[in-house]
Amino acid sequence: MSSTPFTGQSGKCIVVGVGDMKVASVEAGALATNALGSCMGLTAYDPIAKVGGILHYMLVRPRERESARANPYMFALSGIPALFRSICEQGGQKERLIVCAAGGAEIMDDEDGFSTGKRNHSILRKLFWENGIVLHGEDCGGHAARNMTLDLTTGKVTVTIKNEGSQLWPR
Amino acid sequence: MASIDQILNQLDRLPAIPVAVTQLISNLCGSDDDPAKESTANIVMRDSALTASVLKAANSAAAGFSMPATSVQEALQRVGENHLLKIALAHASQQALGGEVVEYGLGKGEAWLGALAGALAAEEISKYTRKGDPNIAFTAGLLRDIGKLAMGLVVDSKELEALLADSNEDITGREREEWGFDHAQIGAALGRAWGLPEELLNGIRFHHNPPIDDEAEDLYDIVHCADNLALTLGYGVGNDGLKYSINLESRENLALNRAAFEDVLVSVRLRMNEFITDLEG
Repeated sequence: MSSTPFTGQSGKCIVVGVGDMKVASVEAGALATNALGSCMGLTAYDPIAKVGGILHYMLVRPRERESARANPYMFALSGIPALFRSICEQGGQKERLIVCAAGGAEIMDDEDGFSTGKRNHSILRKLFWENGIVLHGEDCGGHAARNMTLDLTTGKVTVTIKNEGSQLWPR
Repeated sequence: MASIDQILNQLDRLPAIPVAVTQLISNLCGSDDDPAKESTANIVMRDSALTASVLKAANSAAAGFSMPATSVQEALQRVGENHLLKIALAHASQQALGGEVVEYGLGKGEAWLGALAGALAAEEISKYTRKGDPNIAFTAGLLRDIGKLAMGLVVDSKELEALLADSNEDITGREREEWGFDHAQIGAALGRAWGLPEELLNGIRFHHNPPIDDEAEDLYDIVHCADNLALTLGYGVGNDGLKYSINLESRENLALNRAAFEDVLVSVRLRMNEFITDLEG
């Protein structure tokens, strides 16, 4: 899907690859992750400290513990705590975080098969419910690929499908 | 009604493929005792960009040598002919697959990333399930979507864009309803025009709709599942999104369960990095 880099207000942007995570402060401009298929993109942003991050995870959990140690951002169960921890280490506070999610699309007729997208979405809801974390905006499921961006100056989160953007936060 | 081959023959121009690609495919997928076969080193050395990419791969940190390889022969000894052929084929195919595919909403390089993900997925599935030939699977996975390069020439590109944007149904089914053929069939016809072997043409033709037939080749199921995997990861996904139906029988035929699929998914992601690092240096 055409991935014209989003640059936010500052004209700068860091791209987060598949199975990766980046956390940065306002000087970095913006963060973006492209072509979310069944993977999930998760943004978290502290509007006071102006620090935020994007996680692009692929699966719920690894089959072997070693795999999560080597590639923690590929998996929800290791990547999501890592995102929150890293933002707090850079001056953010968990209670102030604005959190948004996008992705979890599914190939047609796979809803009753491996359901990778649905599983990726469900684990996020479960983890957040268990930890009392509010999801401020989300655009998940269906069959479309999405791009997701986080403007580190304003905290604005945008999701793009087929070059048409919609704002997840602020609403 | 004209056949798909006739429709392609009537076009003023067709998407082109570098000669090196067909030669490398012949070496990767062909018989070892073919007397007409040219050495991989010779094919690579004739193309300076290919030579540079192969040397970069042999000298990458992953290869683990302290002294740099300075010749293609040295690189061959280090990484082995099979791996070097895949590096060279992936690099050479960038020329054909690396551009924008506007109708499908794919920006520069995105179709090629999708091709590479499909190639690695097909190879990994073949190895994991011990079915098919991993080299043929790699090549069929790489070329499976070449039909997207030609669709915009064969049909009205604005109508194609609109169909991809508006459809909420299986895209190949919609393409067939609208024009009588889909991009996989166009891909097989284009592959024939390029002189690709019949086995690869069928891998391309059936990558979305593998035949439900006991006699059908494992390759068709492998390339179909590889295409699903690339879409799941988001590589090469454009305005068509993930709007392709899955044939669950292909997974059954290959005994590819969810755990295996997820193992392969992780392997492909890690190998994407390795390949892209090899190619970019």
